[in-house]
Amino acid sequence: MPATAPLMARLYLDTVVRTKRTLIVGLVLVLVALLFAVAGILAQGPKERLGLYYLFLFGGPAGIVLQFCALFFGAAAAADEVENGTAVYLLSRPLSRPLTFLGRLAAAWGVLAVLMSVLNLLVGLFTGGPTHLHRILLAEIPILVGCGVYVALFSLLALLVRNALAVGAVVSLLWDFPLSSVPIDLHLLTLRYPLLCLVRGVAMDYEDPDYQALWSSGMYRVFEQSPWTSFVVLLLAFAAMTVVATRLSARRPVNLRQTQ
Amino acid sequence: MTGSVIELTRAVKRYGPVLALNDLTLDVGPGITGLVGPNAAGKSTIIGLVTGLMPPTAGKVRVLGGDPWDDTPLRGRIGYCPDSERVWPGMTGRQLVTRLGIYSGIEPAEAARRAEDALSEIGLAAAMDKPVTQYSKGMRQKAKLCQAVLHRPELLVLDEPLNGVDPLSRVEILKRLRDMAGQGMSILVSSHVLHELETAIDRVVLIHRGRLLAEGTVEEIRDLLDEHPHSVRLESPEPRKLASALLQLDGVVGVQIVDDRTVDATTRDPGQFYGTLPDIVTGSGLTVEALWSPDSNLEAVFRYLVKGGGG
Repeated sequence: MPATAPLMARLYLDTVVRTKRTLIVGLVLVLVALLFAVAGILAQGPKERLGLYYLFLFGGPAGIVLQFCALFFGAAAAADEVENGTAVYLLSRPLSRPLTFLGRLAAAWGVLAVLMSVLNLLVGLFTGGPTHLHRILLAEIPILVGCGVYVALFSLLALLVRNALAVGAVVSLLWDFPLSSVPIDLHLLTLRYPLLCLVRGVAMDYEDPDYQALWSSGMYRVFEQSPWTSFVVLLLAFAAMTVVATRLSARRPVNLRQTQ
Repeated sequence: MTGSVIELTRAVKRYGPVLALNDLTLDVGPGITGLVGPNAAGKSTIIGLVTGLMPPTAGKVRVLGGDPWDDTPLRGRIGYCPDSERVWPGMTGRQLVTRLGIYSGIEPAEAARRAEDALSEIGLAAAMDKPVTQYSKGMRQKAKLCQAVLHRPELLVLDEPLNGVDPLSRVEILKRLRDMAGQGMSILVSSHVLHELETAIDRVVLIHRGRLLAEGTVEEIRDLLDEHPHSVRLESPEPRKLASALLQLDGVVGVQIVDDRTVDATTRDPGQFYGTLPDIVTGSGLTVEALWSPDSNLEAVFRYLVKGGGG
């Protein structure tokens, strides 16, 4: 029996790199990095520059970019082979169906994790600067966790609905992103909220008065939580979504009439 | 191998409200078996069940003694050549065959060696490093055949392998199937045209609207079908020359030039038509780029059989 998961991860990487969507994602990331580089150059002093990094992490850019990239890569992990008509080659082989999916999911997470980590590092250095390198590196932890959670969410979505990209965009724009910022309990039903808690818990110095001043009028209940609570919540969400998606993927038949 | 290679017992397959297979019981033994039926007859559904791409809605499917949907190692004993033209973008013939060989459990170095040998043997030595998307229909079918047999399966399943393939490639593919069957491989090959398979296959299974209509030897089934005129569409850069060459063939009762590349021929002896066409083409220096047998042929015959005219 072939080693299914590594083979499928490699196939995913080989094919996804050639797609236009990866080029689009890459361009978006470069644009975001450039914007923050320019803003960092124009900022007045180190406090304002650090504020820009906080803005990147909490104000939306990191979350939005992460969600949209996860949407592209997660949906591709679940649905690309079926949509491209090449699933017939894979699913007629002695390859474990659950591991086929998990290998692709891991590869999607890997691509996204690398891209988002590099983006965080660049934006962090352009704004906060090398003096805050420890914060920038600690922020990589929630970013890696977020990559996994959102890839699992959007791959599950791609297995449940036909037009996963549109539905995923709706989930991101109308549910996860806005609701994570409202000061009512609905934010507990989002993934972004515990992620923000995690960023706050591991990477931010919330005793810093400058930081408090910058963010004293925003999303506030985020900071009430322990990072471990957030981490466990995210881990459970990731595990649940991955298990359901793997089961769905393994039991999904290929309709040969649709591949011709 | 003796006994059943493929067993479908009261197999039912539904796609939502559409009934694709209707309580089908089928027993396929060793040798080459042709699975023949018009479009939407249920051929691809049977192939999907046999190759483990889908489970039956009801009933039982056994292949080489196991359930291909649930038994992952079993699928390593089956080779599958799909009808789908789609492959991964940019992938060369060598990459396609090697990669799918690896997915079938062959070590990478061995898969690469076997892929090179197989593609060379089948006449794709010069093209193996070109993208498959640039291949002609015949070349693609040959590459797909190579990937299906690289791991030396016990059962080879081919979905419409001759559809649109030029006459010389047809001869090569059929010869290859006979060779493989001679080495002990069981083969299930689907087509909507019996006559294009008949020189290679041992037994025929006729499927219509998800039901088994008839099964038997080629001779038995051919007797049922030969009473009906059979039309063939050919593509060539020289349609007029081709038309005049076709009229020389015994059994051809009509030839029509459809456009500047297409010729339709009608024959009352399809077996002889398919058998002698390659000689005519090579003898007269003509080029036939593609060959189809329109599905309407078989539809007419099946309507005839369903009405009971076939006895």
